[in-house]
Amino acid sequence: MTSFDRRDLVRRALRAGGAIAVLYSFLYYVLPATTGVNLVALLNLALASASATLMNAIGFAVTQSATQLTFRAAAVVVTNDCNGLGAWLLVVGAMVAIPAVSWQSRAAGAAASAVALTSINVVRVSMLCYLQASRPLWFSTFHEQVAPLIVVITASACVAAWFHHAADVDYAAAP
Amino acid sequence: MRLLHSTWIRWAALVAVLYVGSLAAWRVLEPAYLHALERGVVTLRSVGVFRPSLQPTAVPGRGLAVIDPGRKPVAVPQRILGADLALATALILGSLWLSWRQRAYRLIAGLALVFAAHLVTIFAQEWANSSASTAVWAGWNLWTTLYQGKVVPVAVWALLMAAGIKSSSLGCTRTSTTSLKSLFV
Repeated sequence: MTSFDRRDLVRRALRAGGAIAVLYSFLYYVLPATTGVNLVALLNLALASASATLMNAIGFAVTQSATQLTFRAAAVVVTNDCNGLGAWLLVVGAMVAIPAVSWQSRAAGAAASAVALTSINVVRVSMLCYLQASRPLWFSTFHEQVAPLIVVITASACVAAWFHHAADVDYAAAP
Repeated sequence: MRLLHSTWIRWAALVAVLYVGSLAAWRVLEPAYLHALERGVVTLRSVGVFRPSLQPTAVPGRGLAVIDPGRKPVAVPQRILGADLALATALILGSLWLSWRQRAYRLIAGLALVFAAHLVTIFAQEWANSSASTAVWAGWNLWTTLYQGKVVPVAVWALLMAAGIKSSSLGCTRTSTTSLKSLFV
């Protein structure tokens, strides 16, 4: 039995916000400063590479230069705003806020969500690359109004799927 | 997992349909909104809130550009706003456990909150850009990252749903609590 009131909700929201801030600081500032490894830049590069590979695999001749993809003389650049990290941080925040779930489940959920959101993002970047070259009038609408819904639905599906799985495992094991 | 298929997917589909409908409604209302925004800036300028040199210029399909000679122009883009308003509308109208009356009240509050968050973000950008503080920059970058993740409509929806919860315990069983860097791009 998990009961909550308004104060409990505020506490959980603060916990989610704290987790997001800590994780964000670690990825963007602490890790590059202490180890020289910039995971966010690597993610952007991996996203561009995977999108180029996908586009080439389905017959579109895309060239890649670092995080820039060029198709029929039109280019898109994968930046920090395109990598889906914002949605993933919100997913992780929700997973941290949900009570009575083991940290192993949370870690597994965060990892699986990262894979799911990155996969969706590869398709999204590929579609943006195609639209920029072939349907430029559609680019902005897809970029700002269609793709975000797909990302939000994927992110909430990750939380829902994880919660049902975690409920089956952790709540069943609870005394 | 069966529950996920039967309940969650249907709800997600409903939200997606409502989102598309809301977006279509927004497209119809967009010109009127842009005109009202432009008139609003002109009115505030005429009563002295803004400098007399400040000039709002509507860019159909894009938003409002507020130009002040000698200063960096401020863009009030409307596509991201439209998407956020449509998503908040879809989530609130899709909250089927609430009555229509409750959803209507929350919809009004939700749209106002999303619009306010949008405007605050635009003006905060000016403030962050002019700040030399590392902490301000870090905070601003975190906000824009979450902003891209659609935190505004999702958080507004969560806030409005939580607002319906009484201070006393509800005793729910196994229930979870349920860039502007590129303006006019």
